Amino acid sequence: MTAAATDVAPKPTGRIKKQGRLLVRASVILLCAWILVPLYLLLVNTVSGEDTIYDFPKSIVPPMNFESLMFFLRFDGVLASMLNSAIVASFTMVMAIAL
Amino acid sequence: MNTRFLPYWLLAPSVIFLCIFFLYPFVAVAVQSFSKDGAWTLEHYDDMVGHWKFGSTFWTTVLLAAAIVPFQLLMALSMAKLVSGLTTGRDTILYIFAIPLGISDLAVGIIWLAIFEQSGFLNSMMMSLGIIDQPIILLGHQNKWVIFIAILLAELWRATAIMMVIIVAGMGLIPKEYDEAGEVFGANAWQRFCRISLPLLRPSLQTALILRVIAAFEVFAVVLVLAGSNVTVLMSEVQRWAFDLREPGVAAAIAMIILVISIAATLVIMRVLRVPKEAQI
Repeated sequence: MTAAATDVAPKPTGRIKKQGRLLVRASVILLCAWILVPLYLLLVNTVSGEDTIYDFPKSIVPPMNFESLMFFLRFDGVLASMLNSAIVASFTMVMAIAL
Repeated sequence: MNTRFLPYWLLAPSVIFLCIFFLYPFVAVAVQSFSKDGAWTLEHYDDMVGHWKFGSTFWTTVLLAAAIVPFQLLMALSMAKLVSGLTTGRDTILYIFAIPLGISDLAVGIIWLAIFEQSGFLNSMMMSLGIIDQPIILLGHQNKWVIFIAILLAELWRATAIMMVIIVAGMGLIPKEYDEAGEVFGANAWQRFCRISLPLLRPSLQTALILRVIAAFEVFAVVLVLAGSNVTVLMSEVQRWAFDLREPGVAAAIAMIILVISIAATLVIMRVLRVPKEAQI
């Protein structure tokens, strides 16, 4: 079978193969960036304090201010809502699998 | 217990569940859209079609679905092909590609709003590159096509993963022998993809497309966040009629319209990507 393959269709030469691999790698990196960059920007916004969130132009480097994050965690009802979400999620999962 | 009836007993919970939570609300909405004060009427449909926003809303929704789904199909196919061709780090890459699956559509809207808003990242980037002198309003009612593109990008980012996952699973089901046979007969990679992989992928493409098209007609939160009331889709009209205008009958009528176009799209996809019984693997 491999012999027939080499007879009919000559294997791609090393250079073409290398280029192909490079292309695959480049597209994988590009697609990962397409997914991860918006998430990173969200992270930058998350760790921006009240003083920097409305700055313009925005900096790409996260200012590392955890004020709003801590505020959110301490805010009344947030933890309770998280618990509610967890309960609802586990119940739906169990029911969906059982059905 | 009689073993002959055992399968039906085992099916009963699911059937009851579907009847209570699926069939009953469905019938209730249908009845609501066709009746007023206990009498049958088409008044709600009249109100719906008569409203000045209905035409543009309807066509926006259809246009959005028509613009998003082909892009998503292409992207999901190439992502799936890339992932299944990888040898190292396949699982990691698949995981990264699937991250948006776990993010709610409202959150995705907020992420893309942070990019497109007036003091957002896109404006910052264009400014530091010297393309613009001052931040411009991107999501304004003056240029609705920018809003349209923003919604398109956000939806593309959010919902391509579900198609990709289905297609990756489908690619795993295709026996390797077909591809090898194609290689033996001298087909290049592109020919093998178009003539062997794509036709064999039809069942998964069918599932992925049906899921996506139905979801595309129901797009809501992303549009709400990015466009507010500048661009309306059918689902935001349902919400407006039901809660702002207190006309649940008209809301039900629009919901029925969404149902009808979803069913129509599903039938078309099933017909086009039909797999003959003899050709199933």
